[in-house]
Amino acid sequence: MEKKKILLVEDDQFARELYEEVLKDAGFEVNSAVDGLDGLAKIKIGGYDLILLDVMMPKMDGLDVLRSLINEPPAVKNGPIVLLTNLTNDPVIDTAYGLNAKGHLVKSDITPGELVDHVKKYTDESQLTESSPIADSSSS
Amino acid sequence: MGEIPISVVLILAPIIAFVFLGFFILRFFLKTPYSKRTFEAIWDIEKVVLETIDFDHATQKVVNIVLTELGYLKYGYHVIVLTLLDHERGELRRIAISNTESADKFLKASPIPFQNIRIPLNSFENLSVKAIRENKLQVTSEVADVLVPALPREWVKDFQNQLGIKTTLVYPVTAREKVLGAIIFSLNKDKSKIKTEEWTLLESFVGAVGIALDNALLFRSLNITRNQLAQANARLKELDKLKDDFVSVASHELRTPMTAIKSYLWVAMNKKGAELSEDMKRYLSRAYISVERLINLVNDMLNISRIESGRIALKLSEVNLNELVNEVTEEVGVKAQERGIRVIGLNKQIPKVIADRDKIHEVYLNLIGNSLKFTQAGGTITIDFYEKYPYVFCSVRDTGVGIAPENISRLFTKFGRLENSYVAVAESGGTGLGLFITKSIVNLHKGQITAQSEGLGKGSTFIFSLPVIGTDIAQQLKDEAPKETDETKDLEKTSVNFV
Repeated sequence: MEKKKILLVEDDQFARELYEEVLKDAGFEVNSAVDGLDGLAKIKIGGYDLILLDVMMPKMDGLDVLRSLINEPPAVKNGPIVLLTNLTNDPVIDTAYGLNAKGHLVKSDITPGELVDHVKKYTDESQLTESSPIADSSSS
Repeated sequence: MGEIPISVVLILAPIIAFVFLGFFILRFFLKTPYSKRTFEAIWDIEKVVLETIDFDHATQKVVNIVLTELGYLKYGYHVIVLTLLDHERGELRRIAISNTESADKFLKASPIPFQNIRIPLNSFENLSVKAIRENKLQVTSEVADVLVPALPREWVKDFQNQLGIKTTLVYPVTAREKVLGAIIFSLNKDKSKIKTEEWTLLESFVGAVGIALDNALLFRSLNITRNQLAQANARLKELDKLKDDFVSVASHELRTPMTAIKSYLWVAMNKKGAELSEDMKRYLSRAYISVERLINLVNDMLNISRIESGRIALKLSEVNLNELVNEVTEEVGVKAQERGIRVIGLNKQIPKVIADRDKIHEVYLNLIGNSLKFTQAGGTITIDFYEKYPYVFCSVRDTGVGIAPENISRLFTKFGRLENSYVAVAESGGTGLGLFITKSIVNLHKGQITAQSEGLGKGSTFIFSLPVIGTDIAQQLKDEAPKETDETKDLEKTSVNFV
C-alpha cells in the first residue's frame, strides 16, 4: 500500500522536526512548510491526504491560507485540513471551521503518540468519504 | 450637595419641587385674584424643573417665562437676569438674560460679553452680593448697583437712561435653605407703582426659580459625574481588554516551548529500540510531569483571568444530575480502576437543576480528581445528592487522607494548597488553582461549595449547591448569569494525570 501523504505547515522548527519524525516513523510520507506562504504554495500543488496547519505563523497566518484556498481552490485536490495549533478557545478557531477546516488539535494537550493516532483517524476517514467534495479524490 | 448622596437628592428633588410649587401656587391663589396666565406660567416653570436636562436651556427658559408667557412686559418688566454663585471662584456669574428688546440692546452695547460680567463676592457695594449675603430683597433706582465693579458706574448710568429703567429688584434665589444666586428684575416704573399682587407673584416666582435652578444644577452635576464615570469605565474596559489580550498572547507564547519540551520528553521515553535505564525513565518522567503541570498552570491562570474579569459566560439549561454523574463516573472509571479506587454514583430521585452542564461536568471532574489524588488504593469515592429547597446539594465523599480542621478555610483560595498535599499534587500535575476555579464556577451558578472532614485520615466531603428549576433563585440565575458575547470565552480544560 502506498504511503499516505501528509503536509505539515508549522513555523516552529522544533515542533516541525519532531512531528515530521514521529509521523515518518509511523509510516507516513511527510512534507513540511515553514510558514503560511510556503504552506499555501505546497497545498496548491495538491495531492495530500491530510494537511496539518498551524494558525499563528509569519508571512501568512493559517486563516489567510484557508481564505486563499476558498478563493482559488487547488487544481489537484487534497484531503482535509486540520488545525494544529496552541490556540484554544479563540474566535479564530470558529472562523477556521467556517473556512473549511475539518478539525482542531491543541499541541500542548496531546503527546506525539496521540498526534499519530489523530492523523491515522483523519486519513482513514478521508479515504472513506472520498465522494465528498472536500475529500481528496486523488488519494491512493 | 457634597454631604447628601446625589442619588437621594435626585429622587427627592422632583418630589420636593412638586410640594414647593404646590405651596407657591396655593399661596398665589389665596393672595391674588385668579389669573389663568399666571397659573400657567408657574406650571411652566414646573415643567422646566421636571423636563429640562440641559442646564443653560433650563436657566434661559426660567428668565423668559415671566416676561413672555406671563405678559409682564406690559407691566414694565424689561430685563430679567439670573446669576449663579460660584463658590470655587468666589464670584457671582451671570448665566441667563431674558430675550427682550432692552436686554438685546444691553448685550450689544456692553463693553464686556455678558457671560464675562463677574462680580466678586467681596464687592460689598454690589446689591446682588448684598442680597445674597443678607438673604433679603434689595431695591434700587440705579442699575449700576448690580453691575459694579464689573462695569463702570458712569457707563451704566448713561445706558440706563437710554432704556428708561427706573427700578431694579434683586432677589436672592434659594433652595433647600441654601442661597444659589440672585435674580435681577429691571422695570421702567417706580417702586411705588408695583402692586401688592405683583409683589406676591414675584415672591412665588423667585421661589419656583430656586427649585428650577437647584434641579438644573443637580442635573448638570449628574451629567458631569456621569460623563466622568463613563470615561473612567471606558478606560477600565480598555485596560481589562489589554490585560486579557496580554494574558492570551503570553499563554500562547508559553505553550510553544512547553509543547516542545513535553513532546521531546515523550519521544525520549517512547523511542522504539532505545531502552532506557530505570533511573533515566524516572528522570524523564518527572520532567514530563512537571511540564504537564506547567501547561495546566497556564490553562488555570487563563481561566482565573477570565473568571475575574467576568468573561466566563454560562450556557444554562435544565440538567439531570444523575445523567451527568453517570457520564462523569464512566469518564474517570479507567483512572480510578488503575488506582484501585471505587467510584460510586448514587442515583437519587432529585429535581433537575439550572446549570451550565459542561462547567458542572468540570466541577465534578475536579472534585473527583482531587479525591483520586488523596485516596489510597482500596478506597471509595461516593457521589450523592440531597434536595433542600431551593437547591440540590451535590456531594463528593472519599475515604482518603482527610483535611485538618484548621486547613479547611484555605482550600478554596488561590494556591491555597496544603503543605502535606504537595507530593500528591506534584505527581498528578495539580496547580493549586483547581478548587478556586471550582468555587468560582459554583458561585457563578448562585450556589455555594463547602468542604467537610472529620480530620486527618478520616476522608473528605465536598458539597456544592445548584438551584432547582422553577425556583426564584433559578429565575434570578437566568436573569443575571453572564451571557455569551464576543468577549466571553470558555474554560480551558485542565487534565488530571496519573503516573
